[in-house]
Amino acid sequence: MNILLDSIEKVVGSQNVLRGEDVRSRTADWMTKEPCLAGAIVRPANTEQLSEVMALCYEANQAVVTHGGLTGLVRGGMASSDELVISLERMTQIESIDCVSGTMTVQAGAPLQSVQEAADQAEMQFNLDLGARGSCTIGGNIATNAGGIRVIRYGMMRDLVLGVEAVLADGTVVNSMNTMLKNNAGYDLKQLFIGSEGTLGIVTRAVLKLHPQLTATNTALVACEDFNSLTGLLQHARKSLGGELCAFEVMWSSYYSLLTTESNRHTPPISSDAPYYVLIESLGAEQKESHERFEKAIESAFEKGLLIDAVLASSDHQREKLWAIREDVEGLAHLLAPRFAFDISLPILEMDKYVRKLQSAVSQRWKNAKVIVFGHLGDGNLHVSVATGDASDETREAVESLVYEPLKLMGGSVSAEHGIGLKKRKYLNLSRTPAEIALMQTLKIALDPRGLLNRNKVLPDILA
Amino acid sequence: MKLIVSVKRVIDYNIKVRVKADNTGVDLANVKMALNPFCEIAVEEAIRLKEAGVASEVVVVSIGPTAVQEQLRTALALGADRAIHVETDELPEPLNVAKLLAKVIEAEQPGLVILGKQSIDSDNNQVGQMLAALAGRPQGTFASEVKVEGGKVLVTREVDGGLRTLSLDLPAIVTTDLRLNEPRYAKLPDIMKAKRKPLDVKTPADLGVELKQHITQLKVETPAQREAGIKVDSVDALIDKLKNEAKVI
Ligand SMILES: Cc1cc2nc3c(=O)[nH]c(=O)nc-3n(C[C@H](O)[C@H](O)[C@H](O)COP(=O)(O)OP(=O)(O)OC[C@H]3O[C@@H](n4cnc5c(N)ncnc54)[C@H](O)[C@@H]3O)c2cc1C
Repeated sequence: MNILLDSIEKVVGSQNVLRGEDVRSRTADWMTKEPCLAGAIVRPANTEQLSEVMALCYEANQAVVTHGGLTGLVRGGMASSDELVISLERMTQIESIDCVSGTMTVQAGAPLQSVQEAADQAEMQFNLDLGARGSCTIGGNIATNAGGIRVIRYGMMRDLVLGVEAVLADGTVVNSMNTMLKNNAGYDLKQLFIGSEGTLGIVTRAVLKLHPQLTATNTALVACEDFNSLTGLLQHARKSLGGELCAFEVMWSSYYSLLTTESNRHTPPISSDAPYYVLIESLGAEQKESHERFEKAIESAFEKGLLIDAVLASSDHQREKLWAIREDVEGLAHLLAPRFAFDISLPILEMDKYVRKLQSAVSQRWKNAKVIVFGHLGDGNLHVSVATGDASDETREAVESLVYEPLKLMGGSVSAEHGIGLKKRKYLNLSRTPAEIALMQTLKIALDPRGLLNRNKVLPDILA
Repeated sequence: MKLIVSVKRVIDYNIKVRVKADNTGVDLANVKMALNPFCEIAVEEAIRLKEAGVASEVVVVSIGPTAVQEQLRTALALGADRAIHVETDELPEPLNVAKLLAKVIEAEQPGLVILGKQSIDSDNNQVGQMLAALAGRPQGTFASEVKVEGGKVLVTREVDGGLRTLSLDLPAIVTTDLRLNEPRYAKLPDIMKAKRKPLDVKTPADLGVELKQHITQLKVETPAQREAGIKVDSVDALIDKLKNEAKVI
């Protein structure tokens, strides 16, 4: 590896090849904070350098792992000592913004928040948003096809990317930097890189889709009496808010009371004895009009008995405090440690039954275990945390099968938005058919014949 | 005891302010507005005094164009009993506000008046003090704690290096500081009820006040852009820049 690293240093400069303690002092996983074990970390400044680096790695049969902001939740950033890490931390440029077409061209290492802020500056809006916004990168968002809190209105990352540039395992640069909404000339190659978690190519630049800036946000936290009202409320909100509904985030009472009354981390805005809480947000163009529509929608939901209590944020500060409850993943991790966390999707109508069954199965096995649930209900996506008090592999596997097995029958997915990475690799077959997995493997072999990119991740081993 | 709370409609504190191109003021078109945070604290304190049985009625007052009724309704939803809107075309300067409030107080005869210590848009910090002078009543400004006991109000103030507690005869004027309390959220059933609570509209003429302008605003500007920092690659380069560009050594 040392000879290879010497050649790589000539491309990126010696200060951009980190070794030894400089590597070990960094973490490879947000959740566990394990140290990075890679042989070295290479930090190219641009696509050309990365292309040269990859050509050298290809020659030397050197496996690599790509690092963006390392906020991924499925251990996709883990690297062993015989792998190199390619970090995009120096490729953070925002290259251009076109307000007429509604596009922004960026380097893939740009942090999501800096992209959001650049769009704001131009009085536009980039509509991917998630709790890790300050650290996660556009490349990571593309690689994991990230979702987040505005999917119900604007879709996942896939819906917000018009073009991609990627470097393949052998250093080939595939420039697919389309800027148009429509382009049906042949295969839409960017889709190969969106959601493939760095296994097919390294994303280096992207053309993102912007929307006009809307500033009229209205936020409410509401309590529902039963699951039927919850789904009724979702339908009601979709209809009465027109296209303005942009978040419908549900917290089961176990989540809400844990983070408010039980831990005192947040003052509960409404009492914590209801079974379900929803954070509803609308986003519109006109302050007054939007506000009136929102208030009316919530009032009529109340009159119809779809909700039993609600508070409306009367300032942005109050809005932030409401969101802080929903986004307090750190609090959750801290209060439940050790816990197993899951990101699953399933048909909305099955959710309540699924959660009840899981709760009873878990408590049958571990008497004092906790099952804490929240999620993007409108997207059919739940985040489930199970804390049994121990973190052994044995318990993990037992919990995993309780969480994952029932999904297969319902046509649910073992990964709604976080991806497969290393963590869920052996469960891929619960959500994908053998034919689907075989086609994925065909693509992998075609794009990365030597298996150098994010080795051992996402797909099961390819049988020779 | 009756309480009067005055509230102001201001640009939401989290919103990035845009100055109008001609520097005559801040662009408020389609911008999110809210209760001034200090006024929100004043409303909260009044409601707590009512909940504690100290006050029997909370009356909120706001001065300005029709739109301020939105903030009055918010205060009513938070728990105030009735509202008075003194209608003016623009937001008047502090002395005019204080004169209008003095007239409201004369008519309403409250036991205690609570105001925010300042509004976050113009940062004047004047109305409470002017009002106390015009009404000839004691004032306790920047309250971090308020207690009503034996016909007096005890006002604790955070001063440099400690706390200072004053005892004021009622009726008194109290202005609120940030740490006095954490305001509640408006609950839906209360928002709905608030729509039916009484809201009287009065003009300055009704109150017998003639608005006079004493202050002329010359211009409003955004702060000068700070230039981004640069990295230098040696101590010599640093010294050179400090000497020849920054001219500080
Ligand atoms: C607090 C918190 C909240 C979160 N909320 C959400 C949420 O609501 N929705 C959601 O979907 N996710 C969420 N996540 C997960 C995570 O933020 C996203 O998956 C994010 O998109 C990862 O971006 P990253 O830059 O940190 O990627 P990394 O963690 O660095 O990488 C993730 C994967 O992508 C690969 N990769 C990274 N960059 C590239 C590239 N340029 N080219 C090719 N492959 C690459 C990596 O090899 C790895 O396999 C959350 C995470 C945290 C910590």
